[in-house]
Amino acid sequence: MRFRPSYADVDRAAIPVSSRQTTHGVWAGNTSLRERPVTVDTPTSTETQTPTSTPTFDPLQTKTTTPTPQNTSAGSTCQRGFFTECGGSPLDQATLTLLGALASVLGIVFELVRGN
Amino acid sequence: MARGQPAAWSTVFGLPIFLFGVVLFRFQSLLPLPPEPATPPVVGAVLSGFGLFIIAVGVYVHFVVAPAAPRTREGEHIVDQRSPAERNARVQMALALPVLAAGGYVLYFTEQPLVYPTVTFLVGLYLFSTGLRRYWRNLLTTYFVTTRRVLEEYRFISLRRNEVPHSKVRAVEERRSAWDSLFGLGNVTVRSGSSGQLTVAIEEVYEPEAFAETIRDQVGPDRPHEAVDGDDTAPPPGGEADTNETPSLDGTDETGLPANDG
Repeated sequence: MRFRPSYADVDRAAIPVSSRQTTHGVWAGNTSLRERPVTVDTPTSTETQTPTSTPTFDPLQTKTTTPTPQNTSAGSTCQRGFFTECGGSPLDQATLTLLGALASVLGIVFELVRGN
Repeated sequence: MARGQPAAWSTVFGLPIFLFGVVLFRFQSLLPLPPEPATPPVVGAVLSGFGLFIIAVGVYVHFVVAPAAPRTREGEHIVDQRSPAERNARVQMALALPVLAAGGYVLYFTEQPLVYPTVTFLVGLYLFSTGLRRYWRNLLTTYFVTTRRVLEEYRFISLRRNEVPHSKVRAVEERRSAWDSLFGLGNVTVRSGSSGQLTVAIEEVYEPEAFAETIRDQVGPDRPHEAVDGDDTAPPPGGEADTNETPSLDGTDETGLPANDG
């Protein structure tokens, strides 16, 4: 005889039940009139979903770890900052390059023309 | 034409910056730049312009007329002539290039906070800019010692000529910093008074001691310029001079100023 109970009908199952061999018989008192082996199978997948609450995560304002390709791809949410990797800054690559080059050129020309 | 090879050396230092700017401007896909934030092409244009500026000024300095020998008066002739060294400035620029490269790497190729490339760039640009300015200025500067004067001539776009007559010299000062000592250089300052208003600063020349001695020999007593000048204030030959009018040449004692000296 084989039977397949639903997993949801199993109460107080501390651990997932594995398939196992057992015996099934007809008994009169303590005397077994007839018995035969049976195999008890457990379902291989859960049929009912355990209700869970969906967690919510708030984005951190600062990061202390090295950025991974996953968070660098989300560039719209992480703008390069001046003192932090995210947070944004009025300065960017173009501004820094322009300021540096201009300051150097003007300083050199001023000093050369002045003659000091 | 200026001394040395300023066009070649300026190209050596300016060409890498120009080429990196061209790659950033036109062939950015060849570089392993992070996708976000994208480096704007204007950055490449600015860097290219900076590299071109270095090359262009180097070419200009190469072909600009270096200061010629000063026009001497009758009986006056040039005793010694020096030009500032170039090697120290070139070494300074060479040391600055790796710092600039490190700043560029952190700025364009990583996403580190901007404070790191900013500080690195400031240090590198200061070293590089002052080295460039020193290199070009030294090429266009010449110092002369004649039998009557100590002159400094500098020519870039304009001309600057500074001189102190030997009869006005009150002190000859020698200075040598640690950086100068590495290259065997030194500075000699010729002062005409304690106020230092009329001063010729001979900077970054080789063998400054010999040059200072040449100046001292010319401004000391019994020098040829006295006979030529006929300077009334000069001490008479053979000593017995008024100590208030004897030039102090050791660079430490300037108390012997004449009463009418400005």
